[in-house]
Amino acid sequence: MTDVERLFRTYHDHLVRYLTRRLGDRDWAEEVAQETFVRALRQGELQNERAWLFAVATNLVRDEARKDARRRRHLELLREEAKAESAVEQPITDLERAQERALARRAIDALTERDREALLMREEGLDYNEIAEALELSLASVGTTLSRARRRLVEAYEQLREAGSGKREAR
Amino acid sequence: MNHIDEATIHAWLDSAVDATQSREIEAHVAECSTCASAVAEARGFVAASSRILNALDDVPAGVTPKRAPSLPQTAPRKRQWRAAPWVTGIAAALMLAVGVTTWNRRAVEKEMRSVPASAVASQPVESLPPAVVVAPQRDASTAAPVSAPAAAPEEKRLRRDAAPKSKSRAQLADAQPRSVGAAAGAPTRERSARGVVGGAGVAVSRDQKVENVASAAPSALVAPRPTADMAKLIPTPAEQRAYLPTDIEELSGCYRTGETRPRGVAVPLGEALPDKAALRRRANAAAPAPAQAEYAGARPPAMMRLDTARHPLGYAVRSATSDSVIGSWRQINGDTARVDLLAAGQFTFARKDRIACPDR
Repeated sequence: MTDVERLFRTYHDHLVRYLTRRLGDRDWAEEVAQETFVRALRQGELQNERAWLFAVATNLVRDEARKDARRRRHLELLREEAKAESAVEQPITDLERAQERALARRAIDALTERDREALLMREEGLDYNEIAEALELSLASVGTTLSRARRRLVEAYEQLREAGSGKREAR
Repeated sequence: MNHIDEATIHAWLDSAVDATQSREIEAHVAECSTCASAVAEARGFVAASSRILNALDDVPAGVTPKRAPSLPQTAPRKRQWRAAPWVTGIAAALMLAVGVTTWNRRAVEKEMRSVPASAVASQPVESLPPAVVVAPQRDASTAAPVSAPAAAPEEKRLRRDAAPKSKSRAQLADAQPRSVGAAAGAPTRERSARGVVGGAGVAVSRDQKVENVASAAPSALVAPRPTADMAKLIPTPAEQRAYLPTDIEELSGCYRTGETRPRGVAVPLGEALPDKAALRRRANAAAPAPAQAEYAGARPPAMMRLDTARHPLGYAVRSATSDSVIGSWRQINGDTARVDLLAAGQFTFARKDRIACPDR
């Protein structure tokens, strides 16, 4: 097994999940992951491969996302809302799940870019050193970033859910 | 010790503090109720944010093929294969219907040209070999009526093949819960382990999953794709080689053709087909040595090398002793390769039969 193959097998799934959560689009996530591995191939020897891969993927997303993030996010929300609203006769579990996902998406979008990335990396099992390296943070600030990100995410989610249920009851 | 700040608590919960500090925190939390409740709160945030992020994963699973790099090579060919059987089926039915009627008429005309039927049999050189003539005449009575019903099931199957495709496209377009219910009749419908979101999770087969992806892009309200940067995402030939599916690499190598030569007895072109008894005698002959030389097509080499270089029809097959390309091969599955040498025939090789390549 070549080194790239091992890299691919070890990190592909994690990277794609990280990117899918970050981007809200599985296909786009696959594309970015592929580009990341292509760059790893060019790079050759990697010091801290996991941190390197996540850093490159994050930078690729930032480069592209800046251009049309707003539009994308708006469309995504429209789609989720349309789905949730039209799904009156949908089985209740599917409906709830779709709503939950829409809420989660809005909540994660409410975070700052750095908080979001640190949190998603942590969820993929990166340790504090790796997160610090990938995001060019000091090791000490990773804890601060993560604690803030978690608190804000949960608070944003709760707020959105209350606002959502209030809207439904008002109808 | 002062109260522990939130960042340190999170670092502690994430096992990101050293052993000494960890013991200190533990001891402090056991004493201090303020910090104990802060830890409880932090635990709640860790668990809740994890749960929220998990909800983001609730996208239809299995829609995108897992090994993206190998997809462009295998997917289009697979689809061609799916199309081939019914195309050839219908074509064959049509040809049979047309061919048989003309042939039949010719045979009748020939007979009417005053030659008695018994004389035809005694003049095999003039007319077609008897075995060949008899077959179409017998078929002629049944072939014409048969060919129409034969084509009908083909057509039905065609329609059935097309149906789930258009259904899933409709689902993608409006993502209505109704259409999910309407698709209940679609064969072997599967739901992803996490359940279906919208209608896009409805999958009939792996091939159709791939098609779903293709048709989903324009119809569903998926956010626009970055087009300008697409070019740099396409791997160069060198990169493609590096991403070569492992099976291709493991199947490549040298194989002997000896055991896999087409079975049966070869008959030189232009010679009349011998009767069954003669065929059996020949097949049982003690010395089958000249069988290969008699084979009507070009002679396949005794050994060939399956290369990993791309060929228009798959990968290149080379002569084991020289570098010349003599045909193509493709992968049937992880253990089987199918070689096509065109005039010299088709061969199926199992991976276990692979032998060491001779020095060139």
